[in-house]
Amino acid sequence: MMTKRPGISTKIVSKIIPIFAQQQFSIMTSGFASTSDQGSTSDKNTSKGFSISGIFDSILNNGRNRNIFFVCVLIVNLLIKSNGIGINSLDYDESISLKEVSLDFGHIKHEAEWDNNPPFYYYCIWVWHHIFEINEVNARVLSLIFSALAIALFGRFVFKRFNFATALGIAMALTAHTMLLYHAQQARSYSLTLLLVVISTITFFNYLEKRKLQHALLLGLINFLLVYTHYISGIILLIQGFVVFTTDKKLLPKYLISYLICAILIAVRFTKKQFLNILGFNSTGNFWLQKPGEWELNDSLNSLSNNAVVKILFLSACIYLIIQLFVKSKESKHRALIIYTLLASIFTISTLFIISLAKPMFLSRYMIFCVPFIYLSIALVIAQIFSEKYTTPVILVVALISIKLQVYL
Amino acid sequence: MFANTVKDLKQKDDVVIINTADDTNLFTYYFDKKSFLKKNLADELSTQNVFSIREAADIKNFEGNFRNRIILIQQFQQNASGHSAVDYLSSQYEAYFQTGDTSKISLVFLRRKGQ
Repeated sequence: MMTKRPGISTKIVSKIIPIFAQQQFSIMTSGFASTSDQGSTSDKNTSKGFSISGIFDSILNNGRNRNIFFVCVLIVNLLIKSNGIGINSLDYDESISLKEVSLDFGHIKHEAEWDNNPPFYYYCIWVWHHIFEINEVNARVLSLIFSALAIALFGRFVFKRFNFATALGIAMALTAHTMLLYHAQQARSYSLTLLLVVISTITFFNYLEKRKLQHALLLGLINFLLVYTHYISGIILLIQGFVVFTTDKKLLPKYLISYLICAILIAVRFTKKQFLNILGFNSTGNFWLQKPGEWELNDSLNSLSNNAVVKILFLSACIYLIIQLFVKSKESKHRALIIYTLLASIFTISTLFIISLAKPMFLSRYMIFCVPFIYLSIALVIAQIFSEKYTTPVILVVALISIKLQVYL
Repeated sequence: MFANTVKDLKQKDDVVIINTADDTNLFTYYFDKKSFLKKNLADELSTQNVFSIREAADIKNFEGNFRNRIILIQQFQQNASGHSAVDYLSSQYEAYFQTGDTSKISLVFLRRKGQ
């Protein structure tokens, strides 16, 4: 696992957020916060006439630091994305979502017998609007919360496995991502899908590390909710199974419990007509989507990557990571994360494109959950290509490219 | 969706036709939010002389409600049958106002011929 890296440029980080920079400084100079350097930090502060050593001690606690980062990203996302959330009138799909609120709670699952969308988001919005009045702002705030939580949780996940700079870069890029911003202000299921994929990913890697049964059980429940929110995102289950199979087969028996939990919940909640609806998807060929071509593929990649430059970086990163997987074989500590990232990004996009040549379902928003992994694949490569000294500035430059160029492209 | 325009201009005897029925939810949200929150939307709207159709031929189901003016909201000019709602109504009604063709959704006002 790539934990905090020593040797990161203090000046650059300190210009961003001083409180985190102080922690980075301590880490890189002390080799993960040795007591001597903590002491020197405290001494400096004490010499200025006030003692904040206690504060720094708590800041140097990594778990707490990650939580501070999580809260900061969450608040920034909520503030930025709430701007203008109620300006536009509802669109067609949002009106479909809101109409579900008028149904009886028990009837909602039967909507999936004719609708191509599973009902979990409709349950959420039903409960939400039995608390808050129906209007444009309230309807969209639920998606805003889901989106902000997804980005903050993913940032925290990256912070834990990489470092502050990488987490900050990815959080910046995701916060400014046009597609994520758009769906954070839409009363539809895509932000919830993104959140559930992030939670599922975090739980999955917790399971890989700790190998506890409760993580497998929790994963089963989360993955069921994922399938119950958006069928296509169910590909995450296959990805996780493949990662377990290829990295540590000893984990497989316990992991299969999560599949079992998911299968039981599907058997309980899905109706027979819902299964028939899924199996008969577009059997008459009258679904509005057409078979994708080169233009659709390129357009989706641009949308998911935020702009053409990031798309090229992403595709280059995928090639690098695939080669690395074959060359370095099982030596890499990050093997599971690399495989997962590749599968959740380029593999998912490619697979959906190929399937769509037979059954059209290739649309960028259906693959919204790939977005965090697009940035993670770039970060993985940057962390490996560049020396530790340059990792932070390069990651931040890439994040800024993603944001800045979006204004012009 | 012109819902607010229709809300302002609709008189008691006017009939509103929504073509196609897929747009009914969105129209109703802005036309009459209370009706939107009711379970049986079609029944609620029919009490206000608002009807949804999928095909031009569906108009015959509520022709008895027609008086002097019809307000037609249409997203697709031609239905699967190849006839538009305006074509269907043209034997008795004439269009006297229509929004431009540039919009995906158009609003057509029709009045009984000879008026």
